[in-house]
Amino acid sequence: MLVYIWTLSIVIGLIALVIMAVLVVLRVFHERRHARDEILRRKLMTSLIRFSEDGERQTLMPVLKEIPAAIVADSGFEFLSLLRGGERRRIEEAFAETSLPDFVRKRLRKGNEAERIHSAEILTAFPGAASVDALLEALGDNSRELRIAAAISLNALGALPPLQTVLERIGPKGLRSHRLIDLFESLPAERGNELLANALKADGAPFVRAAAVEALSLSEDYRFLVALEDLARDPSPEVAAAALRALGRSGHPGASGTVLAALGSADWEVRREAAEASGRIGIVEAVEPLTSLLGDGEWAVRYAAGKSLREIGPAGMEALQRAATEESSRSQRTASLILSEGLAA
Amino acid sequence: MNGGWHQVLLHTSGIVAWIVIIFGLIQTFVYLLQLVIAAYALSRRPPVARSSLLWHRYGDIAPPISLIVPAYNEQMNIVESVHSMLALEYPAYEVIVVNDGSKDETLQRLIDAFELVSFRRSFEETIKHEPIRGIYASPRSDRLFVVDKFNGGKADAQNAGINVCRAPIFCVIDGDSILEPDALLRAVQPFIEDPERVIAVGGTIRIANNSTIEGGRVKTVRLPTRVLPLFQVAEYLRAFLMARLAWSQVNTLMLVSGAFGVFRRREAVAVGGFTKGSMGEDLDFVIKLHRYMLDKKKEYRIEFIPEPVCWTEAPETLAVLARQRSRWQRGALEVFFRYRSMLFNPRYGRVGFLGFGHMLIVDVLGPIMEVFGYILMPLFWLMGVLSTEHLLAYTALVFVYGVFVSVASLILEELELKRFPRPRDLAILTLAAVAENFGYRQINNFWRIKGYWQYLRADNSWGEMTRTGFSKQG
Repeated sequence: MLVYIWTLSIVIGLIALVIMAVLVVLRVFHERRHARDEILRRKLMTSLIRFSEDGERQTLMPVLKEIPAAIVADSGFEFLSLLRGGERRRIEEAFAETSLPDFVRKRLRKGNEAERIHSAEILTAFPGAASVDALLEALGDNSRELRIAAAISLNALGALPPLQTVLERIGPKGLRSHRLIDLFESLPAERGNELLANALKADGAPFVRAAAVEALSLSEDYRFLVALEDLARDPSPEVAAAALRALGRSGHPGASGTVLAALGSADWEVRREAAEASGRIGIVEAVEPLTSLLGDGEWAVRYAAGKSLREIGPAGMEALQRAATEESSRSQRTASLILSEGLAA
Repeated sequence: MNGGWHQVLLHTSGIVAWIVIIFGLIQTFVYLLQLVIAAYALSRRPPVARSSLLWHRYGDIAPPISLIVPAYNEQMNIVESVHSMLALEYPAYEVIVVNDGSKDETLQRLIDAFELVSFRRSFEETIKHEPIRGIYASPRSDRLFVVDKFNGGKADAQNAGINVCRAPIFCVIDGDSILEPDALLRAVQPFIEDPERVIAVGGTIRIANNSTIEGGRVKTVRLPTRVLPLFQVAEYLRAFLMARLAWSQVNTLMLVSGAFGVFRRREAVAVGGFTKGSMGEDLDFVIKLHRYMLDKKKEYRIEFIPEPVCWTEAPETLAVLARQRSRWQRGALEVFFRYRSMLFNPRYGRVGFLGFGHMLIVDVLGPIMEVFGYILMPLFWLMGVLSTEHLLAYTALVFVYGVFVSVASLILEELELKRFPRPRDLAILTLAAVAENFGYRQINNFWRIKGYWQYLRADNSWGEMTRTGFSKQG
């Protein structure tokens, strides 16, 4: 056995060294290829910049056909991410006339995970049935991040299946990702009801429901106000806090009653969001409960209450100044800190 | 009678030899296991090469981050470091430099370079630390805040930073660290993908000696020309790309380096921040997080990303390196014994068995067994009481498997990351990965024994960390 330990160590040590030697040689070739690719990449960039200036398709197309699709997929789309509107669309159309869309769809199926996710993202540049089919297939991929990326791209192409189906395809693990917020926020306004249905789903995961509420709040659609008020009373603190944040963002005075009630919540995150919403909406009736919250056990709540008192205006400032001159207490310290914040005298 | 003693000696040396060999086998097995897990992790999720993609993907949803930079006598590098921090590619972050009562010009250099003015910022002292003398803001950048406090050590300064910061996530780095421009975007990825469970993220630290640094960024990557930092490059590769990546895969990562670590503030406050006066405050902090989450029976993850996020200056002289390694050893022992009740405790699951088991083998028993082996095995062989087969097996475990593990880490790096720019660098590093097993590793173990001795004598001095400075390096 002792001899085996020695022999095995020599064998695997030598194998490692041989592999490393091969990798060093491969790196020499890789460097040469990299140098060649770099020249092609520069040529591509120059052509794309020129095309974005003069719009001469005849000059761009031969270059696009000459340069390997992998370089166009990586560098061309990096350039594309800097552009918007018609300029971007013209380049996308030029890309679509090459073998690039097929290359990207193939890489979506066969690349490594990082390449597959990138491919899903850039397929939005190539609308059409083939891209949609490839992305729908990608919704069943093993990687949850790819499934989410595919859903976001399908949405960008206006081909996202019903939200509930998509969430089921993404699966429960993927439903923890912040990228879900990206997906929800990019949904068109007419699909707001699907978001609302998810937000109201009492047995749904709080993270998903809160993400749906966030997205609803960004739609700035007052139709959802009543639903948001209901959600602000939800037993899940995560959902209630998100709903209160949404109500604050709306700035709608109609939500004042709900926000005032939430200032007395047992959950500190809900109290903090309610305190912030009070300031954003400018609820003068909140001055008294906010003043009480200056002595809250949670620093975040105290700070939000103090900031909101400042935002509410003269009545809030007066309350803050009064609290700051009281006997030393938690409320007094918070009020003093809030009033003194900023550049020192 | 003599024959009887000879038999006893033979028998004893045989037992000792087997103990040393079995211990070496266990250590080698652990390293090989780490290598396999790390290779699997890297192949499963290759890193994203371009940061522009990350910005496109996460720019809108990236949570705010506070970057906390404790600085003590860092006048040499601090301005350069802060410049690099202010130029990071991240949508929402603030930089909080905590001047921990530096005796040199650290604060004044910051005031001069960034035109700092006194500023009042409300915060709560949830975690105790030495009093703050003042907070400064820069009219040139609304991202920069400097906290000036009385000296209390690195952990104390980090705790002050945690109190002052407002973001839900904070990142601690060393004052002399140079961050990659996309460091935060890369490190925040696990927080975005699994925001409920991820509480801490570490990343790969690289050695910047001899690289060109301009405007607080590493412009040209070069290998160190001196032997000691070169060996440390190979060593860091093994530690980060293999060990930490592997343990993070099984959620047993015990150390997020103090040079770069990202943490969720809520849990950091709940565990009382960094332990003041600890020699291994980064190790201590992560173990506290494990213990807290497991005690509370909460689901959590402590992740490691293989992409390089941060550059640091490695010691270039034997004396400075010796001090650093002895200190690391003292830190590891101190933390191990402080939380010894977690060792093999079923309540702490994988952390108790794998994490603490690994610490027991590598940090607690490892140096003693290795140094014993260096002395006893050749001695026994020379005395004729140990067979050549025993000596060969021991040599294999100490030297040859070490070469394999070091070179294999380099293979992983080359296959998945390719961060060393030239083929020549790879060749040099391969030689370094081989050579560091013959002499460097052994000296390291002697330094660690010195750390052991200092720990037993309760010697808590840090020793001066002499730096040459990054400016105009290369």
